Amino acid sequence: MSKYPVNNPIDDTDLDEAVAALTREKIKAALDQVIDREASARLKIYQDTCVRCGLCASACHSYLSRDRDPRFAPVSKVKDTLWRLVRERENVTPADLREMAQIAYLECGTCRRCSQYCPFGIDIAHLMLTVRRVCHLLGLVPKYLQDTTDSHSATGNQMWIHQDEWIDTALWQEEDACDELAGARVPMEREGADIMYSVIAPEPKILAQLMGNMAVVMKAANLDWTYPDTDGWDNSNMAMYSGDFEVMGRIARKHWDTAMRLGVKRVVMGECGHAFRGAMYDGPRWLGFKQPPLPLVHAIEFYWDLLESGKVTIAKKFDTPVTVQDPCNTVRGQGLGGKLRDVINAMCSDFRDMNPNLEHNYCCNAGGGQINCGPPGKITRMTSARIKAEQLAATGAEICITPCHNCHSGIEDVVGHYDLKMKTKFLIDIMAECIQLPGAGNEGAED
Amino acid sequence: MITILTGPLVWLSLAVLLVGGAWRMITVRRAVKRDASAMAYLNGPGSLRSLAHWLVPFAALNMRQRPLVTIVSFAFHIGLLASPLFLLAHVILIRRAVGVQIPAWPDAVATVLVWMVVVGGLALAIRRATEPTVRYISTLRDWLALAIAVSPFVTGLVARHQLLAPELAVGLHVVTGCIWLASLPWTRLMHLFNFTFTRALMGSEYGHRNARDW
Repeated sequence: MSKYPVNNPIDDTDLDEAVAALTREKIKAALDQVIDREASARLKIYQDTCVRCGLCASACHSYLSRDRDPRFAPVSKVKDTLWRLVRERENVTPADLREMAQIAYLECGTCRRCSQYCPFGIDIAHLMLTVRRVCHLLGLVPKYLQDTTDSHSATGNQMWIHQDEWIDTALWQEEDACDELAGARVPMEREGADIMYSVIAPEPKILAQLMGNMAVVMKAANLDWTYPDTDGWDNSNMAMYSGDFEVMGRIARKHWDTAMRLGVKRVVMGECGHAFRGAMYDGPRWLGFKQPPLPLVHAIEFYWDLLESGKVTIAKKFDTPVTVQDPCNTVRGQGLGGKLRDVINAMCSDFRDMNPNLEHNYCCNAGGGQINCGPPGKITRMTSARIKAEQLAATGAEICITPCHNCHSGIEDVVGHYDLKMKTKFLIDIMAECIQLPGAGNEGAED
Repeated sequence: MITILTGPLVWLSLAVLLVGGAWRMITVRRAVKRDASAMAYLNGPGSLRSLAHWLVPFAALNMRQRPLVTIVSFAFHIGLLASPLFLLAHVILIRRAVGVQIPAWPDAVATVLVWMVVVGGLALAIRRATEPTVRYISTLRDWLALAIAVSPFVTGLVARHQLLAPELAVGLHVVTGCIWLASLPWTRLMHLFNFTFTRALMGSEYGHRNARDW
């Protein structure tokens, strides 16, 4: 293995403390619970079916970015974690489990690209989430990721935002939106509105202008929408990725209960992949819902519909060269790649697609809880991102559109680390710049 | 000796195959009952389009990116599944045993099919031994499965070209063939049964979300 660099353990004090507290009994209890009782039929079938052909390897960005280090092939990650847990059970050591936690949380983003390469369609990401479930039960969750789960559990949102801060931020953004477009509103708690618009915590916390931009678009399109003023507005659901499925279910339920309480006709989800996944499939499944109780529309599809129906028109196209990062949970997970390109082409005059693209695009190196592992995990993530950096540079674009909060932060990190001459934008950033505002002539919105 | 081998031993291995296959189905069904959240999403069109793209050579991106592996793998599997039942010698034995006449491959076709298995198996073995990632993940079970899968074809060729005493060669061929049949439900060769099911699961996941899994 000397050809490949040593894979250093991440410097995470929570993992250290959890490892120190592990006992054989605790490990046995967690493995008995997950492997014997919770793990699905799929675990057994996948284990029997995998023929160790290694054809999933070249799907994985972390493998490709490390000169094809065999340890980073998807199948190797399963072999070194779950297959070992199944075989050795409580005989694995706490130190082994720490390594497994690092593989499961940081070296796999559960983007599912490998399942598109596996001849058997084995859901390798599902298997890595099963490892995370074991880690969660043992308290072996990276510190920063656990903090987001704790925040979800205590406040309902990912970033410890209190109800008064949420309402206050919404009202502040209403003022800003009014500067752009007279009469723009940020309605809260409007029962019977057509749309509940759902954002994730980073919007009120650090990217509040996105909420203001959306208020402008909603007004321009004359839509009847609302936020709740209670908890239940954030469904980014990091618990889904930490392995705390009980909290995951609680968050998803709160979100749908809130939409039902408001009596809206549909929920529109902002540009976030986790939230979409949590609300669309992982959450409902845990709750035993076959489908979400109301139609759920992701921002990509929402914008597509606004442009297609003519509710929003573009005053002047955005002419800086752009490319796009396809988010796994909406493009691979919901087939929205085509509509995403329609939206971009409607707003931008110089679109340069990535290669590979659509369902086959590489992972952003942030999603699936990776970036939420915080600074201790950054070097690992950036090492995994080399292929992404090369792919970004090859487009020659100056802006990377990232219709997902994780892709957004992830690509920002990649751009910074690899010193690419590129910026990231959400679709809503571009739409707010290019939209034809009522009564504004043909000049578009001013900054 | 040969009579015992081609008689009771074949029946025994077929019985093991049937009982083992049934056992697999029962355990899978039992497990499936606990996994309602995945089963609820099984959907026909999604499963079928996924199966189609993975059963047709070069229909999936991964196959196009590795043409050599694709050609070898398809040739190997086609030879493996297509040759045994319709081989003239087998057709005669089956007619004697159960009185049913099934069509036989022309000699040239049978020869090509068998060599596809032997050469393909050798290529897969070389890949397993030399490609660093495949080496890293290979276990004894993987080598065993490959050996079991290929050995009846090798011994068949040995018997056909009379490289050993006929009794011994045919005996070896029958024994390896019986091991082949009986081991299907217990070794990595199980993927023969599971392929349709795992593909259907993933095809349904992607299918009902309008995304491609190939």
